Amino acid sequence: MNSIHFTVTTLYTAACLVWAFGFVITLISDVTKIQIKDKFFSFIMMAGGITAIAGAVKGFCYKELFGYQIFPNFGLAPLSCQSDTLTGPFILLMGVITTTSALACPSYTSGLATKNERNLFYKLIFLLLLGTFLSFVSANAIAFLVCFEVMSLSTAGLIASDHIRHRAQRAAFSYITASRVATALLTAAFLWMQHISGSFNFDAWHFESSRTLPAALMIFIGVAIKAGLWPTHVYLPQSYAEAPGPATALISGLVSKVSIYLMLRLIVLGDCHSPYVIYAALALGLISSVWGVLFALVERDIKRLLAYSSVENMGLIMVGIALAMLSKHYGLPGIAAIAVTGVIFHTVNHGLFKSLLMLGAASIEKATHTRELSQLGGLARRMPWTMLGFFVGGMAICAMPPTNGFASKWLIYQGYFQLSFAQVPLVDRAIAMAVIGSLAFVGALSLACYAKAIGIAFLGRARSTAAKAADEGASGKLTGLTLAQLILAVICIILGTSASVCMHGLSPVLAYLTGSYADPSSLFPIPQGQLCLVGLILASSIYILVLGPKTQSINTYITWDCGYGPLSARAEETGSSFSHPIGRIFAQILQLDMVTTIDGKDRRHFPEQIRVETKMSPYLETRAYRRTLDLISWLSLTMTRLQTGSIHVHLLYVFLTMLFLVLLGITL
Amino acid sequence: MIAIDSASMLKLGAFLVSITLMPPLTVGIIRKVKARFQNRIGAPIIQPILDIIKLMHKSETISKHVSWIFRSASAINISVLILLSFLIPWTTFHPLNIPGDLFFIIYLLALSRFFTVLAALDAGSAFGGFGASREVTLALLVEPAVILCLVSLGSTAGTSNLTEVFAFNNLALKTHTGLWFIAGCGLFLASLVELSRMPADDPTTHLELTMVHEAMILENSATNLALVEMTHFIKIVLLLGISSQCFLHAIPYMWRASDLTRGLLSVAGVFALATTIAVIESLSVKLRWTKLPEFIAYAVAMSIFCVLIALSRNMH
Repeated sequence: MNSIHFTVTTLYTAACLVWAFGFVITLISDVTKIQIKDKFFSFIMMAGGITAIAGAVKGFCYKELFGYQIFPNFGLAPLSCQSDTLTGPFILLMGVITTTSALACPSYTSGLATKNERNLFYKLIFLLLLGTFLSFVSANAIAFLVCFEVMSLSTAGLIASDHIRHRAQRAAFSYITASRVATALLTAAFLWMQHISGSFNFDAWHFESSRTLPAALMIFIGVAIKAGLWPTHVYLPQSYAEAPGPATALISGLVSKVSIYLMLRLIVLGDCHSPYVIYAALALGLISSVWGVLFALVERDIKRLLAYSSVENMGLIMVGIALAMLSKHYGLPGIAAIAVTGVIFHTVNHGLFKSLLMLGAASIEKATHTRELSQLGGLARRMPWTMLGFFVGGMAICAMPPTNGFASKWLIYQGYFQLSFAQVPLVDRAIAMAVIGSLAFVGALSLACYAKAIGIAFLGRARSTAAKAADEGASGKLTGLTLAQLILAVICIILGTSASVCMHGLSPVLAYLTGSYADPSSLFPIPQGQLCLVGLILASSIYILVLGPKTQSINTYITWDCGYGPLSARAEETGSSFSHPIGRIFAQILQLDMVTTIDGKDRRHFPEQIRVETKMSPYLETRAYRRTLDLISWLSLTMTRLQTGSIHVHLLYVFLTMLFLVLLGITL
Repeated sequence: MIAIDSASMLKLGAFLVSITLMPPLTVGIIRKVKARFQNRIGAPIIQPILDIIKLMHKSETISKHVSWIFRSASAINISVLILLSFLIPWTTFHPLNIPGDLFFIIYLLALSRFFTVLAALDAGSAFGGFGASREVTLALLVEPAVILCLVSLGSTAGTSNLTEVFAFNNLALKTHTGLWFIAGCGLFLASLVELSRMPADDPTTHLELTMVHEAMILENSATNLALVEMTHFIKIVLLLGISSQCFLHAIPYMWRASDLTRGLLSVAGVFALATTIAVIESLSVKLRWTKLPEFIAYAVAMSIFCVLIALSRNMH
């Protein structure tokens, strides 16, 4: 099968070369006077994306591996690539997201003033794509770290692209800090594993022995930081909110998936059975999912809301990974199969619908120049396509049938459900029940969160003149940005209604990760497609037959105002008031505080001025991180006293150090 | 799917008749019992049917601010509920053998809630917004209770397919009178909240700032309102049906009874719970909004008992 082997390799290489070509073009454009059109760059991105899709599909169909080395002698290990069945779904996801974001990119870059800004944006995007792609296919630790760094740095660059704003600077700094810590942990873990196994190749690593536990833990923590799990998620809302729209779709859809990939590749595939890692993943995953969605619910900025919801979904995926490890540990192949299928499917799904929602947010930001929910409203009529895309995305992320989100969440539920009556210790069965309860809770919270996002941004009346004048562009026709959203929305629905067919495609991955040859399509027995069809026919016939005859004679009138006369849009429910009842229940976690001041001579009966202010300070940021930062800056300030600037004192330091080292040498 | 023999035809017929007639009649019974408690004669039991027919003939008024969500939501919701009536084992005579997976059922209910909430926010009225906000808050508190009650039944039976769990043939569940009873209580308390009935919400007041469901449907009128009302009626029957099924499974006699007795008793069970609701609503008052989490805590406690029983019975 040499020719097929050749094809997957060629396609993957071609994708990389296309993006590298794009990168070179931006460089050429920088040094010469050539002005390159946005559409050209977007075309290059798309071409690479489609090539990657073709390669991944080819790899799926023929179950072929490929591996080759770019630089045989790259320091410690060759810079080698390798693709196997596990990379397939990730590359496919990457191709789809890249292609659709490519459609959306010109909408952002056309608003940039200078050629240099535009070139910088595309340069970083191409670097990001190359870094991400090569991280997925890198075969050993050194290659992975290099590509991972390229990816992280270009992400940081994209976040800082609007660096005039103070917020963007802060966001980029916190992103860099987080990714630095993650890389440090991963590097340490990789060196440890190299020490044990004598190789940098991922394939050679196994995490069965207890000696590998520190490495496994470090990898897990690195992954948790990079994926944005609690308590290291604090950089996520900042950075996702500040990155330019189409880039956020890539960052939230793809970059966070690299860490999930690493977790699957090393910890799950490396047969890590350590209870520490398993229960740490479970606990952090659960806390992240609850914490993330709770903060998403009370958030006022639509992109930050989506970022917090990413924390939730990363948590869910981690909960699924924990189940996969746990069931492998207890030797329950059936549950492991469900968990692994659920994890991979949810990872792909989350990539799709989060990019969709991020593009929707970009569209809103472009049309109204604000991300504040309190300034939006009534966009459904002004931006019908964005509304449709955001609506489908919201349904998918709340796991509503018949979207893809339901299928993957169902698998995670089902995995824990089966664990609750499996032959495992009572503690684990109790944990399984607790997880199901918490997942139900998280599900209801995310419903509230997205009902708020959609309801406040798109429905009701416009709350500001900007929202009143919002325009999708192209006078109702599709633009690149809206087209990208619609494509993703359609994919979400197709993946949901034909979930079993799609899961069938995951069978080689499943076999690879769990060693079971179960057909994943049999794991999802709900005839979602058929029921959806029946429901759709039923709903449309009711609409046409029952509601239809009245459509002609409908009276339109103002919204009910209790006879007070036309109410202004300020009388509407706002985003904060919508989430306030839930915020009150969780006031301790959210640090929610409401201050009401009433002024006037007779305050009770004739108040002249009423002022209500809700304050919310994120617990971790204010309590834990702020204090750590304060401590560090206090320490640094204190330490500066050591540096007096006097040569004598410094000579004393040198002498003392020497003395210390000599003593150390004698005692050892 | 459907074997054409007289027994299954009869089943299908009985099912279709009951899904059409039982929802309005259940509400009629609730209203009648409440009226008798207040020393009134009350409207006839078929009054809800007459109301819906009357609404169908009225001309519709909608707000000028609404989008496509508003009218399509009511059509989608009633279709979801009709689908659910085939999936949820709320009677013993189920015509089609679609696997009614419990997570699927919960998320279909959530789907209908999603549309209801969005339709409420659509007109941009303060009432709709309040109602929607309260609805999601209540759902958030109730959801774990509902899912844990059903999961502990499913876990004991070893399947997440509720049609199998509620089929009077699962021997693993036969002796679990306590589990069935507590699950029934938990589901009943949860459905009081989900259905916006008395301690959580007062279905008879209008334009009161503390209400939930009525606030959300304030902008609906005529046919649209008729659809919304019917959806709500069906939801009442389905949720009461599933808790009454739990109670029926707790009775050892039911496991030996014939199909006809089971069918009749499951219809009677729904009406009995409806009467219970009416009695509760006549004797108690609506709780303050801030006190509701404490009420829901009872449902959650029931569900935790269920989980403990399920865990202890499967001990290996």
